[in-house]
Amino acid sequence: MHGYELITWLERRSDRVLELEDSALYQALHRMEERRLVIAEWGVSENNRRARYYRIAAEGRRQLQAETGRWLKYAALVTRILTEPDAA
Amino acid sequence: MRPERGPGDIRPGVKRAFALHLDGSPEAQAEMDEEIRLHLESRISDLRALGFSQWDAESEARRRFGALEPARAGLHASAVRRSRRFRIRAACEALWHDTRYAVRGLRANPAFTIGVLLTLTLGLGVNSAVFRLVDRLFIWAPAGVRAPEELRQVLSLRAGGGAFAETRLFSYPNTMLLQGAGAIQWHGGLHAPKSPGARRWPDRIHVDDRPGLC
Repeated sequence: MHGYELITWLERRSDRVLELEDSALYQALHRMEERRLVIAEWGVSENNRRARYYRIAAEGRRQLQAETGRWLKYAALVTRILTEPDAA
Repeated sequence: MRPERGPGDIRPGVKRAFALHLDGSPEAQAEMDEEIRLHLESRISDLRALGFSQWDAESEARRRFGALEPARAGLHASAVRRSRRFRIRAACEALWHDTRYAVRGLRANPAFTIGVLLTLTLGLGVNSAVFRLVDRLFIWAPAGVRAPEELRQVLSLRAGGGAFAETRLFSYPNTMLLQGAGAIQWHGGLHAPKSPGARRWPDRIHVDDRPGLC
């Protein structure tokens, strides 16, 4: 996906609740590219325009899995603290 | 104004000739601009499809992107940094691959390896000697000379047969004689005139006034 496709994908996935400055996404992509988590290549968009396409690298996929696991544990922990009644 | 050159300084332009070109900033910035342009145009097009006027669509696209000029400057900086790191990384990787390839090849042919090593040893030795000479003559000012730009070449011109015979070599006694006569002075192992062109000995002492003899 190119940058704009990524932004619109995020907006759709979050039901447009997640408000993110578009420029912040490019900054994040640059950092991930430097760390070899994503790979960028120039291609041609559906409108026949030159566009920079990003795809996840093997190292990025490993990092994503690790971060997803960490996030799920953290979210479950906070949910339990906030919602479960005190056992004592 | 150009700063004065001291004996420890390299001639202007020499450093630049050996600099590594790892920048790539203009390309990285141009590519970033292209990416931003596509992004804004796509956003405007989508907003127009939702019924926004052209003016509203452009304003909304810029608002969502973030303050355009500061964001653009920030993205330029990060694109340049990324490009520079990639270039350095690519150069290091190429060097590493070439080294590994060369080592494999050399291990497979020991006789060739010995030949290469001998050639390299000889070549490096000669190269080092020539470089040292060029370095001393053209790049660095002579060691121990406080004001190299004041050095002059001293010639001895002897009359004979209607012409002057020129020599740049002075025997030690003649040099001492010239020094005693005040024509030249010792200056860090090299001759420098006390008063350029003032003395005539044995027929004429000529001082070459061209600057930059060292």
